Amino acid sequence: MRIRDKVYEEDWELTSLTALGSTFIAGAHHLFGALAISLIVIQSAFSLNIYIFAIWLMLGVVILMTDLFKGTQIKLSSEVTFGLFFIFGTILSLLLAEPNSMFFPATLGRVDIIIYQSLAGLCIGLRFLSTFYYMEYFEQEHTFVRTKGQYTKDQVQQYKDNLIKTDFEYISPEGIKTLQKWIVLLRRMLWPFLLLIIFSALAALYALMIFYLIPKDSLAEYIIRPSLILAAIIYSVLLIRTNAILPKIVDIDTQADQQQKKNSDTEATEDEIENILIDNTT
Amino acid sequence: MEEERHFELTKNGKTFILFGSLFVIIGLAIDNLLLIVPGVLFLVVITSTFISFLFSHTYSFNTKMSCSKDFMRSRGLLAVAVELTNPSRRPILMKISLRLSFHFKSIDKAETVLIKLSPQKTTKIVWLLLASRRGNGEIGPIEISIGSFQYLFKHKRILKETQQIKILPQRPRINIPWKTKKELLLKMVHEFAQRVKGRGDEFFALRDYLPGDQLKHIDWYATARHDKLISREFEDQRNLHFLIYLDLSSTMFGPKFEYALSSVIELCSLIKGTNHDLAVVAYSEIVQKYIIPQVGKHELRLMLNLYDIEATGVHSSFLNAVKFTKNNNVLHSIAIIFSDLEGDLTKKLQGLHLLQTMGSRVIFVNFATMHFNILSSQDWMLDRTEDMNYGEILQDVFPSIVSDEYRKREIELRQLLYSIRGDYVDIFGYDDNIILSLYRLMKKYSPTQRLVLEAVRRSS
Repeated sequence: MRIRDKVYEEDWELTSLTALGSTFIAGAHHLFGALAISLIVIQSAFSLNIYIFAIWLMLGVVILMTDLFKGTQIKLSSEVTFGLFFIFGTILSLLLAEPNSMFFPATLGRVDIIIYQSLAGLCIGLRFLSTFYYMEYFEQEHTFVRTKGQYTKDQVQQYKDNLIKTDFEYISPEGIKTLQKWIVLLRRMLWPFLLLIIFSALAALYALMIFYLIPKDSLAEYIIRPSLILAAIIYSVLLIRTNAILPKIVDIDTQADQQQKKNSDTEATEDEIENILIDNTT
Repeated sequence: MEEERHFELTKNGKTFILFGSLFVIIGLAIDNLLLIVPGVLFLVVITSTFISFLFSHTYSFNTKMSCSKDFMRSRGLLAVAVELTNPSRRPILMKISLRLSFHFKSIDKAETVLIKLSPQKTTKIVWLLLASRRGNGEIGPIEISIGSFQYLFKHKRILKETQQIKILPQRPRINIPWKTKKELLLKMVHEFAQRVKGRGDEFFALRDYLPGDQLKHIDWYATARHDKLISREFEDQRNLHFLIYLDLSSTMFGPKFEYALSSVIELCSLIKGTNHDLAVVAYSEIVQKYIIPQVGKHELRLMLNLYDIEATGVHSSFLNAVKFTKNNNVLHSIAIIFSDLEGDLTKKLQGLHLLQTMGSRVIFVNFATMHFNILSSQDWMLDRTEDMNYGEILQDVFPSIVSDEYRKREIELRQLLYSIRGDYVDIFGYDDNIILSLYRLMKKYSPTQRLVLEAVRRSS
């Protein structure tokens, strides 16, 4: 090893920032995943269908193991596989469904099913939300060098002291607290919630209209749900179309800025060269 | 400031829209809340990104970036200030990341900072940077992301302004007193200066009168002594030429080249203070750069030009470099060659004879990989290997493979240099210094040393 490299390693330490909230969020993320899967496993156990129970148990173990092995490395792609596991399990349990199965159970009441499934769905949703939150605030590589030796500590402190009352006075900006971040996040989700509620209310209204127009005994069960499905499809198409309308990259370049740039390109004066020489000698 | 705005749904965003609708549709179809609830949440999240875009795409703020220096030494500190003004009446929450080239590392603070801009106020962020490598560093562009969930919906502003910062190598660690340097230079000039006849004041030699010689140059005393016309010759009055050849071949690549370059610069700074001429020829297969460092106004720029050199060649051909200098009529010079003994040795040594015919004195400075490579230095390995057997193997086998080959090459070079009255200098790793090694070399030529050597030869 070169001596100067050795000196460098003695003086500086490469550190990566781990915020206090990050491990907490990662823990919550795994916890919600485990809760969701355990709720479904319990529900499938109550359904008294051994195949469905076995499938969900296996999926649960796989998901838990992948979570455990990944630790604090949370990625969106792994969340996608997590979601696909659920769709896969649901399709399998549909195929194996009997009168006693998970989705047409005789052993479970209607209210129980709603509670179980909505709770599990909420857990999955919270897990995804925590993933987004984690990606937003903790995922970036926060690597920097930290002073290690006394010499460098003094050097940096001296440099900072010399910068006082210049344009480069060292100021550490105010950080934003974790709670505040959550509040901002939730406040931003208020509008879309309202929008979605309005949208689905309109769909329901439309369905009810048809429900009263058509005689009650014919297609009563099959109107409200298809209209909601249609609403979901239209909504997602709307989102994608909105994206297509937006311009992707916009360049803003004013003439005044160009002139400024020209002015700044002039050659270095002798004073500057002198300054540099002084800098090099110190 | 030049600005570029990005806003688009990312691949992840599209995936999550599809996921959301798929979850909702399947869930509704099979009456399963397990899928409906997360599906609705996906759609909500995506919609929130769109809405936050609608609210914030009209935001405008003024930014200003400034660096405390344009030139700096490696391992030096630099402050970068970014000023942000929020002219609107709303507070803006945003993430600022300063993009840095690999030459810089941020001190005690991440490159990405999350801040809240209060309305109609100026906020300043200062980063302290450490330059960890030499070269042309670049600071910028600044990336500002507004709005939540950047992974789903990219809403960024990239301020394209970048600032170039030249990072020079570290200062040499050894401080050699000026007296020693002066002495070395005097010795080199005294020993290596070739006396060339020409027009000057200093007497050079006597010779027979030839028709065309000026009458005032006839030495009448000598004519009387020899009984025929004899005229005086004079020494040419010219500056000494120092020619520094720097090898840019691939064998020099790496930290070794850095050291060779800093040695060249050290030598340049020693010579250019005097009235001797100096030129640096950086060559690989052809001459890549021909630099004449000067004193005065352009000195700095030329020195900076030197720092730009990188070892990018594949094979080097010394002959081409020598031919180049011959075409430029740089004769009777002191040629100092910074190279090594690896690769094709014949190609590296081919021009030496030509240099001699040009009347130059040659000093070959060898930067051996043995001294510069981490893995090949035995002490370094032995300190760190717990397995002693490996160490023993290294001690027994390694030198016989590489050192022997090196010794062979060195002997070959030495023989060649002996035939052209050249000199050989070895640089022993990072602790050695070019000036000190040249000083060591010049001791060989000191009169006392010469007497001692002669005595030894006589006795043997």
